Amino acid sequence: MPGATIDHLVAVVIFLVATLLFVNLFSQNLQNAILYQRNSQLATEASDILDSISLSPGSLTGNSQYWATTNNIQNLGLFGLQDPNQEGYVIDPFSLMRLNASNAGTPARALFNGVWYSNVTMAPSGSYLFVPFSSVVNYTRAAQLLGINGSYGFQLAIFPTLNVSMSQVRANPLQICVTVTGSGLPLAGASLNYYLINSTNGSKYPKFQILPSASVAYTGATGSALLNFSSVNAGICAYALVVYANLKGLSGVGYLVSTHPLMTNKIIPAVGSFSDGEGNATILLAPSPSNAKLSFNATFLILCPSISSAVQLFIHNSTTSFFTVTGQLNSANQYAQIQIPNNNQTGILVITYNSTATGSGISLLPWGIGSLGYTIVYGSAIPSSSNKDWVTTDVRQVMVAGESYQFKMTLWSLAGYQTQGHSGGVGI
Amino acid sequence: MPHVGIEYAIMLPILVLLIIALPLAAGWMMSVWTNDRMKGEIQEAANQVTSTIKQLYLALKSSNVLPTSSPIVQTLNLPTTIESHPYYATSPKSGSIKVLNLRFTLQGTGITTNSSVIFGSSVNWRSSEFFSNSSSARIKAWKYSTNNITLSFG
Repeated sequence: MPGATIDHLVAVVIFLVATLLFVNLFSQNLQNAILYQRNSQLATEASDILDSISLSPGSLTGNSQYWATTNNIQNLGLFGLQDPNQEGYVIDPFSLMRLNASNAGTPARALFNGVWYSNVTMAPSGSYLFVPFSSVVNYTRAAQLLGINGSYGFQLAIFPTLNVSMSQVRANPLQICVTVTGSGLPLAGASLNYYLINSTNGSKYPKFQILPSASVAYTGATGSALLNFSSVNAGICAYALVVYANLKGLSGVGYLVSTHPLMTNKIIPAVGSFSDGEGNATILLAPSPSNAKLSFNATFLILCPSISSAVQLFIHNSTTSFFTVTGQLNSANQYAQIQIPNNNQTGILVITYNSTATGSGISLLPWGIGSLGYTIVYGSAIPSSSNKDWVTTDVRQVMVAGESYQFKMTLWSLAGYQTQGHSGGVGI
Repeated sequence: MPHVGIEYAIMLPILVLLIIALPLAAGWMMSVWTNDRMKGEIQEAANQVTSTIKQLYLALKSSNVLPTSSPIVQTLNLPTTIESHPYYATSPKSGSIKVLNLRFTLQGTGITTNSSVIFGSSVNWRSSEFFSNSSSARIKAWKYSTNNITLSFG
């Protein structure tokens, strides 16, 4: 009866295979249901955390909500980025300066004082935001204050809704092409207001002038517009162009800095302290190590949104020497220390400098993220797709210093929940 | 025919074993699944409660919302039971609070979970308990002329 024996063996094998298949498929279906539930919770959590950050200004342990303009960041008791003077989705441009941004450039150590700086400087070159590491909130601290340290990983990205980019078309007379784009698409019909900050060699210190736009320009069908400056020869002067774009209630800002080729990055500003106790912040101006002697003119321009929604630049109280400082730097170890008002007004610190031997140059420091349309990425690196981690995102449209920004939260669980399979987080 | 006898002797116990083992395995899997599902459900309920408290706080914080003499009551659209088990939350004592930690327990299962809300300044919590199958499954909020906000269940 070998035939019957084979029948039995085959039947048993088929039965066992069917049983195993059933168990496997059954558990997979159940596991998917649990994962779906957990991923749904993760999405809710992302929305909650994003609201917590964007609708709360945070505070120091003493209940002061103006933590971003103080030096004692170690006393931060609640983490939030809302502008304490506003309501709704308005983000404090100074709080954003206090984040240890993960999109920042290489950390830099200043030769003149030995302090390590978080480098938020973005391309194109010509503007700088160096903040001491002791003055920024790192990711772990923020996660602890949000109560999610060890349970969730997150990344915040704060980026302008309108991208304003520009390039020099012609040097003499100066002609610049400005392009406004949204999410990858050129935007036609955007109004452009702009200021050309022009520096030329003076008798002792560089001369400084602001040329406002004579009329509003508009982008064409390709999202671009040409700006002409008939009285400016870029071949013999340094300039910075700041352009404010506005389209149907959305606003953005971009800038372009041009200096003499031998004068690029010769004076670099860095934040010394956020408060001197008298309502001022201290900015340090450091010369490039190879430079011999530089004369500079540092002027703080305050941004004032006008009724027509176009931003206006003002040299605040220019009749005094307080906000316009001139000086000379003679060696790499020497630095100048200047003060700018720290009264919740955003602005741009413009440093024009020159050397008798060569030409002139310009450096910008945005006082408040948003003044120059910086992007900030803060938090941990997003897990790669090969890890199969479930990552959820949520976005809010916010305002930062009068500019339209998008505030994107990316959140993932650190408990090991994955899009498929499992690594210990799921019980089945 | 000795082989057939041996085959039956082997096959019959295997079949009997399978008849017992399969329902047991299915029951065990269902038990694990139900347990995980209950954990997920109560975590979801906890998140929804804390999320609602947070939203209520953020809404009241706005200067557009004027102080109220009577409390604002927010009902929660939550199931009264999870797998036929009611659940409850215990909260801290009354007083000023910046972080509200709530512990949710699914009655009769030993399943617990935590959820928290982070507030700004000027928030008070009134000690109270949340029972899913009672009238206390609501959130009450008061806004005072000092802009202080008091929250509680009930």
